[in-house]
Amino acid sequence: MSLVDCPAVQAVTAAAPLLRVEHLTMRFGGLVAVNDLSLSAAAGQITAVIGPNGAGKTTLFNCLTGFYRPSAGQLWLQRDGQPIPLHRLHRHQFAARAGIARTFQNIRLFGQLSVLENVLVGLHRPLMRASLGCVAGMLRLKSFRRAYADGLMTAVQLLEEVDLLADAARPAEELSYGAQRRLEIARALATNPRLLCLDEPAAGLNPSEGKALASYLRALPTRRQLGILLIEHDMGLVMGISDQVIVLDHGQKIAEGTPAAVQQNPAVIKAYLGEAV
Amino acid sequence: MPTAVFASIPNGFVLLGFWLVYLLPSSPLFQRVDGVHAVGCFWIMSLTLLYFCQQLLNGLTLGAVYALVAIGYTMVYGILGMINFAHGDIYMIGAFLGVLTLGVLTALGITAPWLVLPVMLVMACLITAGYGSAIERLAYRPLRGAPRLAPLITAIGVSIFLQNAVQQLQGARVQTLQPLFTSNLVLWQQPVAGQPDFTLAIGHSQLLIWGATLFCLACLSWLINRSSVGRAQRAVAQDLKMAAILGVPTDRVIGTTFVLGSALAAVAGVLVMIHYGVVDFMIGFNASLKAFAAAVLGGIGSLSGAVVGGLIIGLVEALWAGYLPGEYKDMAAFSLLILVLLVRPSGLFGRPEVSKV
Amino acid sequence: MAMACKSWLLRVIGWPLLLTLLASPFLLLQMGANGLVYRWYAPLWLLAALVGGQLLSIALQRLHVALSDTKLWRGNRLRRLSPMAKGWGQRLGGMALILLLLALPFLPGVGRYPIDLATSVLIYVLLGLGLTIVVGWAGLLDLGYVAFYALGAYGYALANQLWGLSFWWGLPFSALIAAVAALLVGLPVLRLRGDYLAIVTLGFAEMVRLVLINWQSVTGGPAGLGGIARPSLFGISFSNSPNAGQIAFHEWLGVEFSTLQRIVFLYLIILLLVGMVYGALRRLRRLPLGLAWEAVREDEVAAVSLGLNVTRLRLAAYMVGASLAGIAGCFFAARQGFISPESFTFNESVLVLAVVVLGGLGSQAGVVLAAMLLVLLPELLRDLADYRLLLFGAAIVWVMVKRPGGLIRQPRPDLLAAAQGRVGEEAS
Repeated sequence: MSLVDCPAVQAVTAAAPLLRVEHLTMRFGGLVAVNDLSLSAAAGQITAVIGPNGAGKTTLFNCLTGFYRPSAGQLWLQRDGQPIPLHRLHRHQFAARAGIARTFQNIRLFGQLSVLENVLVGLHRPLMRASLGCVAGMLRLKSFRRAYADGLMTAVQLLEEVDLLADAARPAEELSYGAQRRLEIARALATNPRLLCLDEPAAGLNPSEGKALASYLRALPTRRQLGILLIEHDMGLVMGISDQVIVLDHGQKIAEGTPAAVQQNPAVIKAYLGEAV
Repeated sequence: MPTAVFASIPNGFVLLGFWLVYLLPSSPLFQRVDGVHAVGCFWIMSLTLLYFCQQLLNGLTLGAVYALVAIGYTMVYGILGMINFAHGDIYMIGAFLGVLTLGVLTALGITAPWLVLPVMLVMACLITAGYGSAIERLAYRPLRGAPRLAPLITAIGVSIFLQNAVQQLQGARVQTLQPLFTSNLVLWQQPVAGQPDFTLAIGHSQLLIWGATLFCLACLSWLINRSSVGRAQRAVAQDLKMAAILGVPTDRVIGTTFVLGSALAAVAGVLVMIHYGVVDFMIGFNASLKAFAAAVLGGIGSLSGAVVGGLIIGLVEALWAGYLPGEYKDMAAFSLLILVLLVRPSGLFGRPEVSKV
Repeated sequence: MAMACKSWLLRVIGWPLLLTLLASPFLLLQMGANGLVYRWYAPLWLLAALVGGQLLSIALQRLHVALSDTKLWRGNRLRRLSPMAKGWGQRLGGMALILLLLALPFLPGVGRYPIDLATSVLIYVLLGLGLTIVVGWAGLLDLGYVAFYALGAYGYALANQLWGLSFWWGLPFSALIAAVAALLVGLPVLRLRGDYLAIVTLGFAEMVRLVLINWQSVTGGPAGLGGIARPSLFGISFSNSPNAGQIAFHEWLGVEFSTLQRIVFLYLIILLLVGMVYGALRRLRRLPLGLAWEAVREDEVAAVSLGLNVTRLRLAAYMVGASLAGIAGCFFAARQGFISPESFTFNESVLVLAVVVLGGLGSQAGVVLAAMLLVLLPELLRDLADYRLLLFGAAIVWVMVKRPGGLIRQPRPDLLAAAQGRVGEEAS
């Protein structure tokens, strides 16, 4: 049932994890939000990061996606057989060089842009390259027209996957909350990421939407050959779809393993799950 | 060991010490004249140094005014995250209200400075505070939650409106006034061969500016740090949404901020009018630029930063006016602003911004 | 009911009274050269005007509500809400406007004045289109836009005097100068928060003005620069006594010399420029670059997370906007033949900003309409000319607070409908 059981995937995972975080520390003044944290996430898997509020999950995400520069430690992403040092990249290079895309805890869409345009912004880099800055685009060269049509097709497919094609021409701000969450995921996928970081994707969804999201996410890693890093408070979702769960508390890793194993872990129960599950 | 001690002293200080001990006394700034004027003073000041001191005094005066205006900028930015362009014009309105009050009082035959001054300050503060509050209510409050650009554009609209309204109602003419305070406090008098003596003096109006600025700053710091209004203000500046959730009446706090900032700007306006004796409807424009530069220099959002920034901008401008081509003195503040943005965008006292994701 | 009554009273009596009170020191008293002047009547006028205005706006509101209840109006509104619909009325109006603009100089009975006026309007349209990229698309407030206009004008004037640069080479030259200046100003600022740009540009414009006034040896100081070469058409000059190697237009055509010929020629040049820029921007808006600008405006953080280089994009928008101002400046210099710092004051920046804001931030058609309105109205109502800036300021505030969409809200381009045909075409 789970991908972890598949021997091929296991072999790949053992060879080189998609993401390696080594001794990451993030300080804000005197506050240590993440303290000497090491973890790894595998390609083709869903890795969930859980922990009580203030455990450092979002800080970890912000370091991984370039919004914070770590105080210490190294972040490596495996791409095309080459490790890329994330801690040396500039903010905007995380999506392009490393292939990391993210969604946000409090949804951040381009409100006045249409749904389709939101996804097209995710395709900015290939489209920009095709339009040669904007020369080819201004002249409407054939090469650009073809690339643009391809881009549109990709965007349409992505929208179809998240069931938003009917709303393609509407401004994003008009969508319902759940639809906005889905659009954000589609937009992140448009950058063709290797690692997709989802920051509480189920927050604010109703049960049926949550269920649909779970099955969508479950299928995503194999279909798009990417790894998913997931922060989520909805334990049902986390335990249902994750291959690996990492538990943080006070900026440190206190447990790691399959959902079942983590649920049995006394440290986790003590820190967090005790009252929740 | 001694080498280690020396190495720990920053190079700049070593150089400064060397300059003070060896170079300065032998430089043309000081002339050794066997004690004629100075009792107990070994070195006699040269004219160059006197001139420099005079510029410093002017700079401090100017700086005090900029500081008062900059506080309004920095408070509003700290809370709403918007540049309130109209603030410079609030300052201009304060100055004009001072002029009009002075006119009325003169017409009534009241000319005693000790009576005129407080009346002018109170009138200007009260009415200008009303302006600040009304502007906030009518132009900015409806835009809370709108895209960042919207209040910025509105602010520039308000600024243009106020400027031109005053121009239409009071005329484009530069208003010149009889100085209220003419006497000086002479610090140093030095005879110059074949010319009138060079006097280093502080005008009473300058003393007034410093005194009033210090008083206002003391009141403000008490208000911000000790009173409940100040506590609410600091809370709103930290996190508007959270403060609102916890029951802080954010709208009222923001209104208070505008009232406070406007009153301070009015004080600055009246003081400037008294000291320089000239006012026109455009003074808000330059003051805007310079006070904003001061706020950014000090670290936007930081009150003490605004004061220090204002003083620095004032000093730099006065020294620029004294030693560099005077026509370009308005460029001083701007050049400093660009420099700060290049070297230390968070300013002297500001903390680097951590984006909230 | 009591609440409603109270709020109504506040609106009709309270606010006007308060505002009148605040304004009354300035209304009652004026500090004249010979002491105070009293104007007892003035506050009453203001009060009456404000109360009247409020009553009028309430009446209009009621009317609007009443009308929107009727069926016809509702249908209309639905259509307006649908993003696909671009009203035929708008399209027809645009077409008529283009035809009118093209035919204007050849209409019988049209003299020098209307063409001159139309040329002025078109200059502001060009400036407005440039600023709309910066403010409307990229979401950066530029309060010193006039600086680039001035740089373009002086750039061409000086290059013309020093190296004899012709107008047609002057256009790209001015655009380049303005773009380089924008790069230098934007670089230190744009990597920071976007809103610092507003005040820095304000300072920059002031600095440019100071230099223009004080650097006498180069810029001619307050007296300005004169004798700037007019545009020629492939070596055909429109002056009475052309330079060596040039043919005079009236001789070439064999008609009598008239300054009207030059004015019409200038008008056609700016019409061509504006037309080209308008078309180019329409296309640009749908390109990845234009889309990225808008994305950066909407949410900078999200844009970065998608791999957009926000600093570079903003810089690009700022430079493109500036270069359009440079082109407008070059044309302005060539049209006047004489420039001085007086033409490049802060008020010009205000006018262009008002054009952009009133046009509805980012709407190209709105820019055209607003430029026509803002340039023509003060010209037609001379009595109002003194109050021009006052009204612009009020209008900017009013639009931002009450009607952020401006005069014409540009619909989002419907990419899918446009693409459906194209995708099929490519696939086959």
